[in-house]
Amino acid sequence: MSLEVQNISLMHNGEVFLEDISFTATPGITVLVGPTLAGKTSLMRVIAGLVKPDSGIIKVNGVDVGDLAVKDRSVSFVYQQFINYPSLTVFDNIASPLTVLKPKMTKDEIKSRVHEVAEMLRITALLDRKPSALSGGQQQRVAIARSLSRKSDVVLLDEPLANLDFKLREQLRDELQRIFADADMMVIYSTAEPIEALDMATHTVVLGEGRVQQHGDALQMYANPINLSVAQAMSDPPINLLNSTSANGKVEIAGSSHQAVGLLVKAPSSGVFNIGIRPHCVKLSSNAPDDIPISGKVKVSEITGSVTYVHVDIGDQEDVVLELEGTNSYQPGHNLTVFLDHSALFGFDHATGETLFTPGVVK
Amino acid sequence: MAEIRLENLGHSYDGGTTYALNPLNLTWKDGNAIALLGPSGCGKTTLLNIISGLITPSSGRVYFDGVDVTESDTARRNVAQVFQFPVLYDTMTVSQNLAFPLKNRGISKDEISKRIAEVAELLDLTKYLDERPLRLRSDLQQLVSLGRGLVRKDVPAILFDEPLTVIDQNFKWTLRGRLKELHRVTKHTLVYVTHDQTEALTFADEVVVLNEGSVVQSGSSADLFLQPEHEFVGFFIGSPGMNFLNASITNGLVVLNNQEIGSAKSFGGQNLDSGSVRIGVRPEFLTISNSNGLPVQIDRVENRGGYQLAHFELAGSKTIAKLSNETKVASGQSANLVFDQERTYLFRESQLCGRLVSKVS
Amino acid sequence: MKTRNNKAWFLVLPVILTVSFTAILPLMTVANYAVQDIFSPTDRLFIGMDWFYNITNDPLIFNAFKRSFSFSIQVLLIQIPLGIAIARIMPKSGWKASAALVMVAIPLIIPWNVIGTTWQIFARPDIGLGGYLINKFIDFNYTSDPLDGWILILLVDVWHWTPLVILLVYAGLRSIPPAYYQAAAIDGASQVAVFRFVELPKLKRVLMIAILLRFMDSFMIYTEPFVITGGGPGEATTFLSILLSNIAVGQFDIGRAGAFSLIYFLFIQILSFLFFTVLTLQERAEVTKAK
Repeated sequence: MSLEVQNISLMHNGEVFLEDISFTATPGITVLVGPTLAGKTSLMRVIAGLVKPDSGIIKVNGVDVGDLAVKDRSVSFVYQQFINYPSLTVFDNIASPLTVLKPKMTKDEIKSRVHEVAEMLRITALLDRKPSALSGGQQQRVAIARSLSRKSDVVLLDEPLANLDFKLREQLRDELQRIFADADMMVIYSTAEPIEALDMATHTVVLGEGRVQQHGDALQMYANPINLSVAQAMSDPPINLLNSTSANGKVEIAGSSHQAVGLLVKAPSSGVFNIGIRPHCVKLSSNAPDDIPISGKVKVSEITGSVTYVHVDIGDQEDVVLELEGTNSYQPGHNLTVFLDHSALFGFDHATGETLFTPGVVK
Repeated sequence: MAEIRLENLGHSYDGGTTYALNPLNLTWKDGNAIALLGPSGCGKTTLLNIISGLITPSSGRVYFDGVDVTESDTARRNVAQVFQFPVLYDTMTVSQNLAFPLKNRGISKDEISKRIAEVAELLDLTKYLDERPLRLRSDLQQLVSLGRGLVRKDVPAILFDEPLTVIDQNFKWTLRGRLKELHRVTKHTLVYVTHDQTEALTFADEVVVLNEGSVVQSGSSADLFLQPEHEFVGFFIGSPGMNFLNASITNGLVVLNNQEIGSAKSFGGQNLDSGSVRIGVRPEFLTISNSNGLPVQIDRVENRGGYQLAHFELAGSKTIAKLSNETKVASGQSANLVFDQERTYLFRESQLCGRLVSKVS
Repeated sequence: MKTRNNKAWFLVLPVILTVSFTAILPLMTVANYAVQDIFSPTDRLFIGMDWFYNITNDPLIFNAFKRSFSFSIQVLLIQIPLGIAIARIMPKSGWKASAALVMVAIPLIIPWNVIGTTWQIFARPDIGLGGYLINKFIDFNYTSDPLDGWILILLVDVWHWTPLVILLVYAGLRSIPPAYYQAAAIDGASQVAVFRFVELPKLKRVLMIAILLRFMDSFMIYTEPFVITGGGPGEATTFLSILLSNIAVGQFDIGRAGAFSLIYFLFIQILSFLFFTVLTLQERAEVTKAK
């Protein structure tokens, strides 16, 4: 089984929504990661057949489905909003895709299938209720059950957890992974949160500005993003960016000059570039001589209990954010020298955002 | 800017059959940032709307700086509130939207334009000031909404109802930092409703955890994380939440999986010599070692980039340890689990009753 | 490139046929009449566009047009604000809301000629309750005083059709999320400001539809003046439709009536089109923004 997306482009009112998108999904979970307006929803609508692309081909199991109407495609769709039939019970909601299938399923077959998916999503006890009597999390479970009941080849989930509580998200993420691991279907799952790709994906596609930026293994892209937009899509909390200038074997960062050692030797020998470093790789102390010290003033410290995020003002560029273990309370205005872990630096071209160097390993 | 005091405050939407908010007593210091944290349906938005005056409580009183405002309507209370989704005046430009609450209160033109400039700067809205909000992306619209809440200075409190829901992931971090800095400068009393623990914990001086209409625990982020007084707080705060393991106590020794892992130290004078108990320990306070500890079989290791999560089963419960990237661990391997005893707590009937200490041998 | 399936056009055929019989053929017949002077079914004369010149210069018709137009404007000026005002004070939930909705809807479900007859009797100074009572204070006789006749027809139309405006506006108001009212309260907005900046913008579409419907309907008003005043007193309530039927059915001047109908029809088409264009243009502008 496979879903092939080939050279899909989509324009609307002269604006490019999707540009030459290609990737192949096999059974398992393909996660589309990207910020708002990256084109995730548009792409899913194209795959479902809700929108005709201006060019490109969608193949399911090797067959071009471009001329098939939505209802003739073996596709299910789960939306960000919890969409169920309000007048039907949960049972009838889950059964609804089955009643239109050909050849016709018998009542008993339908019943056993509904119970099977209800069991998977732990909503068996709710089968007689109406959607309006359910909580948001339960409603979304029903919507997901409905998408699973008819065993479509392709299941599209468009940020299905975005409107749920943080804790429910955590829980459902775990369950979805378990459910889809056993199901023999191509699951396309879109999200803005890299953690969902790292947690669930068998294959990850990073979208940005309507294009595929990079695809492959999520952790691999976390460690080796091809450009800045992938690095940003795969970082939460966001990756720090520092404007830097290199000249004569030295690198100037935030007003102070440093010997180009460690990963910095891979920086261009002269010119402007950006250093990227994830907040947990910025330290308060250094035990390696190659770590880069940066001085600044504390702006805000945010204490979560498990970690502390300290925002440090380093002059006329974006603040540097540190993620420190435990509780570290710094008064605003406090002078602080932080160290950039020399083995965790990324370099990005200032103009194109292309990656110049990466740590090479997961940091 | 005001101290907010809630006295026996409760609310029922159906005339007293069920309570959306059980009667509670809380006092919030003037100038503090308070987060109301809990799952949907826990009563947090009801509480917020009672404070802003959009809902009149079924029982109890609300005091701003000692003045009873329970019967005052929203306009008279003079609070600012930001809603979950953009609420904008379609026919006004962004800057007219920002000016509206000031204009209604008869503030001078110069002052209004000064404040609009400040708020627009803070929220990166300066270049959109002359646009109609309908033309903007939804996250920018929400910023305008936020701006209308922040533009006023004389308010006793600014209330936020999950204001960052529609804001892009990356920008959320920046914006939260800016809100926090703004709070430091202006010293407004802020009340912030959210289901997102990261938002609540990072933002607030005091986090009030609500569940099913009651306050479960209230305190600083560190308090809630390090010493949850209720199993719900342990579960709800922290990601992943606290691990809970069924254990028993014999002669003051805590036995898990037929192995003594330490002595029980009682907090509230409760007798912890014997009986069953639930051990609560956060994934952050579990480590694995090669030599000594409780033997476990690792089911699955998830690498989340900055850290890894090891999943395993212990005493019949799914358990997670949060480990650094340096820890060598793989799916299917056996390992020895070590508890950070100072951070391993004991619960009875969901309430904190003690913690683990080294065995007295 | 996708090939288009032209077979789809066949599916539209039944509709085209039906519309032909119900609308296009009768209209063609009228168009045929309009270019002839018809004295009797066997005695007719082709006169080209003469009727059209005749009608556009006929003061009788021009006066009826002025009457109809000013009647419609007065209808809008009264019914739209009145409809909004009543919709705003109607209960918003519970049994009171249902009761209010039913009460408001009653005039809409009464057959039109029944309404006419009822009011005709009700307003009579001699045997009508309303007419009798009002004559205790002022002189009111719609059968003899042109202004009274006009006022009565206007009153009946207000009674009959304001409920439509109320229902539309009520539905529009109910669809405004409560957060908008809450935000306005928090911003310290006055009642007037709430109406001006929250309700009116959100009601824009609904109001456009209400105005379109009410203008067209009142511009074509027939039953009420026919039953109550018969177009009088004098010509006070001889609206276009009354005049048209007088020409066609009363005088059997079918050619002239045909030309008259065509112009009437054209005028309404153009107005509807203008309204429709304004509506869709506005909507399109909003869609491109909101994307």
